[in-house]
Amino acid sequence: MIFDLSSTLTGHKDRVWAVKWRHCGKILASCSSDKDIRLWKQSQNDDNWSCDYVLSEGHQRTIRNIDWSDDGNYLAACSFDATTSIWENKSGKWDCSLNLEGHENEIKCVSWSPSGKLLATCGRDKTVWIWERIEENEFECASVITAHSQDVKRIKWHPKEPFIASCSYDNTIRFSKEINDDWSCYQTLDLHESTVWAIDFNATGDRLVSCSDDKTVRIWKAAEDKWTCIATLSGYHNRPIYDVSWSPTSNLIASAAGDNSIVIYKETQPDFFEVLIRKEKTHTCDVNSISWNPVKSNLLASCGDDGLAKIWDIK
Amino acid sequence: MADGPGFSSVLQLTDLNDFIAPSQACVKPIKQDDQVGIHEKKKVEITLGDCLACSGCITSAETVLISKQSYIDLYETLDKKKSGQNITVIVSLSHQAIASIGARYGQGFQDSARLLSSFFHSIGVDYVYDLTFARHISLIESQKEFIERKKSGTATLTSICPGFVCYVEKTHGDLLIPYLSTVKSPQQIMGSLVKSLWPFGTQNKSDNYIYHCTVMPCFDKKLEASRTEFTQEDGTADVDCVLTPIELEALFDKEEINFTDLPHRPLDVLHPSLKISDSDSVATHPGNGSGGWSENIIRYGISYFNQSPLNPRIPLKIESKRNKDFLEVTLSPSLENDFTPESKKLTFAIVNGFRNIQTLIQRIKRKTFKYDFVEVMACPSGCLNGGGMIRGDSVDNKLFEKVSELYSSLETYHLSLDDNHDTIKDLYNEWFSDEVLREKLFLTTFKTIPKTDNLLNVKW
Repeated sequence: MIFDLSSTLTGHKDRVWAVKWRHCGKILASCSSDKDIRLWKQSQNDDNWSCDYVLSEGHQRTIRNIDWSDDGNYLAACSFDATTSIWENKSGKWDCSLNLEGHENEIKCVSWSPSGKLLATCGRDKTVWIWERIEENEFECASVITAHSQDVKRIKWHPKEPFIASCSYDNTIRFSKEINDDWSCYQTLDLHESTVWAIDFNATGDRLVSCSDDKTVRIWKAAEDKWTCIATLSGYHNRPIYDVSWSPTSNLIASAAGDNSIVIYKETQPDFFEVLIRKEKTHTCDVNSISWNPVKSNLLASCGDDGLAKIWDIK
Repeated sequence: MADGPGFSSVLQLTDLNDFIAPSQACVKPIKQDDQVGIHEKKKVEITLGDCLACSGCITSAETVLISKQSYIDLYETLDKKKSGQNITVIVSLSHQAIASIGARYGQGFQDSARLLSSFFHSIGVDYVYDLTFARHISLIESQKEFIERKKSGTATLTSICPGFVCYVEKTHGDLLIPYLSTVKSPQQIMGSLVKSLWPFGTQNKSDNYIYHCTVMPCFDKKLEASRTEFTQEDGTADVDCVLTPIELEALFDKEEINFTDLPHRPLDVLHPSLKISDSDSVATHPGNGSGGWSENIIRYGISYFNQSPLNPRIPLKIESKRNKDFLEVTLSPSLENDFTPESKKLTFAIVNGFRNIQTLIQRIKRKTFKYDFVEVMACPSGCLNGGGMIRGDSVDNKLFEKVSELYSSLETYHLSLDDNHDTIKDLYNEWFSDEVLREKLFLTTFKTIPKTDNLLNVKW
């Protein structure tokens, strides 16, 4: 198996916090403590990736995370300035069309529902907010879920059903859905022994992967609304694991950690996962985020505290 | 009675997130450590006053709901009284709390009130009242304020809910304080009346220290009672202690009190002229279980701008917008022909729960806000679902339905909400004719609490 560096994307002036592929697989977005979002594209002449667009002046502090809407026309970004910005693509130009206010302080993650009608945000104020699109450019708060007892690090919509998973500094993963006119938590997974930094669903939505400060990756399986842990992958990272990504095309799982390495896992037999490769020194500092390309299954993007984003060729 | 942390164990049972949970890290200890050089570290104590004066968190941590605000404080006061100190102890019961206790112990509303009266008298309390009259004053004052504001083109947001007030002051003070009603809540009007005018109808103010305890549907009322705005000249609070039904239930369990076996005893009467009728029943105001602020005040507004007599039963259209906790209140369309344009255009709202408060705030910010008056409560479903109300065992909370049923079973208070009504006029002339006194008793103020930028606490 090869794990080669395909491109190094330079331009951000501070730590890069997140990378996300647009659903077409042709644009990569990254966000940074430098308060910019950069869009990266492959040039037509050569295969090199370069910065195609800088979305700036949307936030006053670190942009912690970003998410593309399924149709690719909107990019949501959340920031430590307690706001979420919605960027809209208007004939090739990106404009900040909206700013959502409400969180008490730092927002850690933002996620579009598959339909694009709902948006979820979460953050240090321990809450998860569900925003509902009322009109083209108007969102209103549909719910504030106060299930977590600490900082909420990530949220992710299920790819098919109308519910969300969230994970937190309180060591839990929680599932929330709309019950009787309001949203509330209906299931909690508490097997991780420290902060759960990230979660991701597989393409069909019957599996969830989580990673933690406890240096483990866990795989969870759904059976009739109930999630159980089917695998604990430990011993592959020796520092906190900050991100996991489940490839929608190859079904491979990638994890990235504070030990500067990226590990790739595969389900070799039903419910049995093995490490395919462990790549060290992918970045010179913490690897903060990774994202599988949704079209070209061999491409994995990563970013880190070294201010760089990278694209890897894995096959 | 044994002292100890009984209060906090009660608090652990309940969900204090009436509103929004406290911030992860209180900033106060950090501020204490900013001196340079070697110094002995002192234990940092955080009082409720500190929390109210700081924007670090939205509401205070449960541990900060100091022992002052627990039944232990009431019992200690009763002990002092028994040992000969000159103290008069008064307990005021909110409608919601009486309903909660009734629902929990399978009692009707009036029986619940009589049992509570009996219980408090049995432990040495001198007088047990309900809050109907205080709410009546609060509604009348709110009506007057509404008319003034409407004429000057300013919308009104109620300030009855201390969770909402706390949130406004700490996060959106400059934007929202101009909209807040300056009329005190029923709890605080009762506090003023009890501390300034009791015993009612006599010229002689009591020499005793009056200790005033209220029983309220939410923990946030403890915060309200602790505000510096609600103190007497000598620094003592208008409401010394706030208890909730959850704490009373724990107290009955702890002291092994067979609540339902107590003899019935009617509530005490504030003043003969304020009674509903010859019966000793508790009455309520028309409208929802939070107190019917929007419903009563819009009816007053309609009558005022239509120049017709106040009809406390005039049909309203109450329509759900977005969800069941965002309601719009207008005059019933069937009546529109008989009313002036100004009166039928009045649009009020009832906004419950944090999510809808957010929508409200964003609309005010974006200037898409169109209401004349909004009743705002931090708890979903309003005060009948307050954080201090006893919960049912199951998720569907059958007790809430029972509480609503008990509340709706009440007769309506016969005293008119019309300030042109003779009784009301006489009342104001006799007791509250002095404008300075009226303001002191019934109105309050708010202040923006500056944001503390606390970058030291950043967690990635």
